[in-house]
Amino acid sequence: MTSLIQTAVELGLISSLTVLSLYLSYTMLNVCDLSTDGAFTMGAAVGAVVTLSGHPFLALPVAMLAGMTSGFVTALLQTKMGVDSLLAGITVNTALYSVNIAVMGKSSLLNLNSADSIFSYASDLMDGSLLDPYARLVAIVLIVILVMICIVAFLRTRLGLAVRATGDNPDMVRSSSINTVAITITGLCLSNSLTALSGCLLAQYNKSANIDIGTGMLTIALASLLIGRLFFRNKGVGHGVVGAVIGAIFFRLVYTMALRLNMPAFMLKLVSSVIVILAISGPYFLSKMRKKGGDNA
Amino acid sequence: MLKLQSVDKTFGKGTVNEKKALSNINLDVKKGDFISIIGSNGAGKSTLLNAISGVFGVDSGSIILDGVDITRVSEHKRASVIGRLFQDPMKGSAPSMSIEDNLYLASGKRGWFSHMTGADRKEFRERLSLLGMGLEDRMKHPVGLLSGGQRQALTLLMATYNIPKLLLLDEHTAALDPATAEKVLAITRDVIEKNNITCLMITHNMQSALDLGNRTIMMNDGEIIYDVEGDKRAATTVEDLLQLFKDKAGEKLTNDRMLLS
Repeated sequence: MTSLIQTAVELGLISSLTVLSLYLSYTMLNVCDLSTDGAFTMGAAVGAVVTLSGHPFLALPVAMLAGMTSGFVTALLQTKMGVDSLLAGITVNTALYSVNIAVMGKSSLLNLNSADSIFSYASDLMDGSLLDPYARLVAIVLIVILVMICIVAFLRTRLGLAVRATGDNPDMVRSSSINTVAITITGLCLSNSLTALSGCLLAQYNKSANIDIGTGMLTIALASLLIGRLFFRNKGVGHGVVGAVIGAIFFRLVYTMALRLNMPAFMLKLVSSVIVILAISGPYFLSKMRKKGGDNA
Repeated sequence: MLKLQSVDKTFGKGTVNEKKALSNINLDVKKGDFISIIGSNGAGKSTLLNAISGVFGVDSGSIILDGVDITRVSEHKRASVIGRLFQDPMKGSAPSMSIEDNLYLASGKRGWFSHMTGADRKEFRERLSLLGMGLEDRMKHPVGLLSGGQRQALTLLMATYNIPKLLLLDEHTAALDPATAEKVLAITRDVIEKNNITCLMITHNMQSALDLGNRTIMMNDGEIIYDVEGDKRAATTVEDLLQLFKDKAGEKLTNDRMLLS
C-alpha cells in the first residue's frame, strides 16, 4: 500500500510540471493552450532519444528546448498570423504527432530499459542509504521544488508581472508601453518547456516513450489545476504554485484509490473530464442559483 | 507639440454601417495646453483620442508628436510617451494583481528580470499617499477590491508615473459618483499642474469643460466645430456653449451623461 501511495505521489509530481505549465498559460496568461498533449509527447520523445544516446541529464534541457519551440510556433500562429488561439493549439497538436513519430525514428515506441536515466543515477547515488527506497521520489521532489522556486521568482519579475497582467487586462499592459504579443510568446514558450520537461521525466520514469504518452494530459492537468485552486482561493502566486502541485498529487492519489476500488484503468480519462466539467460548471451553476434566489427575495 | 493634419477615419467602409468618425481633423496642441473636449454622442471625441494613442490607424492625414511622425507607430510604443485614462475604471489596472505589482509594472523600472525592492515600495507608498485615498496602506491588496474612484486615482498615478508627453482623459470621471468624481478631478488637476503635462480631456460636464484647462474644443459629426481659448473662453458660460452648439450643429447638444452644472 505504501509503495502504491509513493508511486501515486511520484506520478503526481511528474504531472505537476504540466499543471504548472497550465498555471502559466491558462491561469496567468488566460490562454487555453490545446497543444499540451503534443508538447508533452514531444518532451517524452525528444527526452527518450537523448537519454538513449547516453545523456539522461542533457535530455531534460533538450526536451525543454523542444517544448519551447513548439510553444513558440503556437504563440506565433495566434499572435502574428491571425489563427484563433484554440485552433492554433489544435493545429500544432496535430502537427506534433508526425513530428514526434519522426523524432522517435519512425517508430511509435522507444524502449529505455537498457539506458541510464536520472532515476537510475539517483538510485545509485542513494544506494544503501536510508533514502534508498525513496531515490526516485527524492529526485522528482528536488526537480519540482526547483521549478516551483523558479516560477514564483519569475512571476515576481517585471516580465512575470507583465505575463500576469496580459491575462488579466491586456489594455492596461499596452498602455504601460509593453508589447502584449512578445509577452504572450514568452509565456507560451515557458509554459510549453515545462510541459515537455514533464513528458521527458515520465518517459525516463516509465523507461519508455510512446506516441500516446501525452494523450489526455491537458484534461488531466486542467483537472489537477482546478482541484488545486480549491485549496488556495484568490491568494498570491506562491499559493497558486503550491496549489497546482498539491492538486496534481491529490488527483493522482484519488485516481489510485479509485483503481484499488476496482475502477478499470481505462476510466482515467473519463474521470478527469468529469472533474474538469464539475470544477468549471459547478461554480457557474452555484452563482446562477444564487442569482435566482436573489430575484425571489 | 501635438499636430494633427487633415486626419480622416471611416469605420465600416463600403458597408451599410459606414460611419465617418473623423473628418479632416486639424489640431495644433501647444506644450502645456490643457484642452477640454465636448460634443454629442458619436461626435468622434473618443475616436480622436483613440487615433492619437494608436488603437487603430487613420485612413489619411498625419499625427505628429514633438516633431516625430507617429502616424504609423504601434499603440504600445506610443504608450511610452502618451498616458491614457478611460471612462471605465476597470480598464486601467490589472484586477487580480496587487496595487504595488500594478505600480511596478507601470513604473517601468529597470530590466525585465528585476524584482521590486524595498526602495521601490517606499517610493510607491509616498506617491500613493499623495492621492489622499488611503491606498498606501493597502499596497498588497488586489486592485479588484478597490472602489471605482480608488481605481481611477490609481490609474491616474500609473499613467503619470513617468511624466508622459501627453495625457489623454476619456470621460474618466463619468462612471463615478459626484463626490468621488470631484475628488478624482481635483487629483487630476493637481497632477497636471504640478508636472505641466499637456492634456486632452473629454468631459460630459459642461462646467468643468470651462473651468479646467486653458482651451475648449467642441466636436460634432467627426469635425471640430468650435475651438476657444484665452479671454474669449473666460467670458463663455455653459449657456453660451449650448447655444453655440445649436447654431453650429443645427441641433441640441445631447449626451447621455451630460451635466450642465
